[in-house]
Amino acid sequence: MRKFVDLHVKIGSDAPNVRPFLTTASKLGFSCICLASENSSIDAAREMSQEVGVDVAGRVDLTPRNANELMSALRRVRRHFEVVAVRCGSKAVARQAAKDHRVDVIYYPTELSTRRKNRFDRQEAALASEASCAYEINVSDLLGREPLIIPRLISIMTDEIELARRHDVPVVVSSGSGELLAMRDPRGLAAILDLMGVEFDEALDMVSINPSRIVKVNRAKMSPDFVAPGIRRAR
Amino acid sequence: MMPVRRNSRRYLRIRVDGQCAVTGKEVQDAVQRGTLTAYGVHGLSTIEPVLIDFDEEERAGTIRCNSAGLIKMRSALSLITSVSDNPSAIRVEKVSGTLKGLRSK
Repeated sequence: MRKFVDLHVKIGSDAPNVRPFLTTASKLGFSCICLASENSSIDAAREMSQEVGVDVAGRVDLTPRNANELMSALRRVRRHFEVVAVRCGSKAVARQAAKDHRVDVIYYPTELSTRRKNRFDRQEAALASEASCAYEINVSDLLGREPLIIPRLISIMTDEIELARRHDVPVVVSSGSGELLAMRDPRGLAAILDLMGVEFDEALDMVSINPSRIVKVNRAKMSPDFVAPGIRRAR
Repeated sequence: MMPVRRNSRRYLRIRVDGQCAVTGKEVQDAVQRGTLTAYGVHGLSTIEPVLIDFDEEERAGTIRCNSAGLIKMRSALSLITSVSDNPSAIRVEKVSGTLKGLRSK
């Protein structure tokens, strides 16, 4: 049976806010969600996770202005979060993020004007493929937008997914939601990719296998027994 | 028409999440409009979504669509963010090939 993972749920910094997100995720059929928030909220969510029945992973969204800022942020946060995501606001940041092994996920801005100039291209796909960095689609980018903008975004995303598949870059589909009503069930998230020409079974992998692999690998790395990739301290 | 020639259908149990009260007519409009926005007139004719019943208190109902258009139906429902200008989400709880199967569990 598939285990579904929502790799991107944004929550505020206040802990009481967390519970509704966890219960909604559980009702929708997710077995794990990644909360993009401050450490204190994630810790509170982890305490509730067993009670609610949803596994919680921590995620940090980096929005650096240049490559140097990205490098210093990565040094600071990598060991504290299961998932490190980078919002690629410029070409330089996108290139650096795609080739850096410490980055798990890259995603692009939602503004159409920025997105036209700065999109996931062939070079970034090749770099991301080598670094095992995943390309993320946030469904919230499409929700509640003007009807004329949605087709353009879908067209850009379709090209980017095609490029990612050609270079064996894992694609991850997340809700990217900051509110409860924007959360969608895993099959609903996968079904949206029908608009981008992705088969349903492949789309389901993008909500289950691809994101859970990221969480699993990073949890192993964060374990105290981890020495180096492939080497683990035996007790 | 012979049963084997009849179009295969799928029934979806849905729940409308949101703050404001909604009627079946409003949900039906939102579903039709959402399908039209996502897949156009041709898509709407292929999917043929129909709201069979809707309980306004429970905020739950049943949608029927063609089985070939099930994924498109799910996709269109996921993209809906409002029902009659009230922020809402239409969530699919269960899918079945028969109404009896949908109501059984």
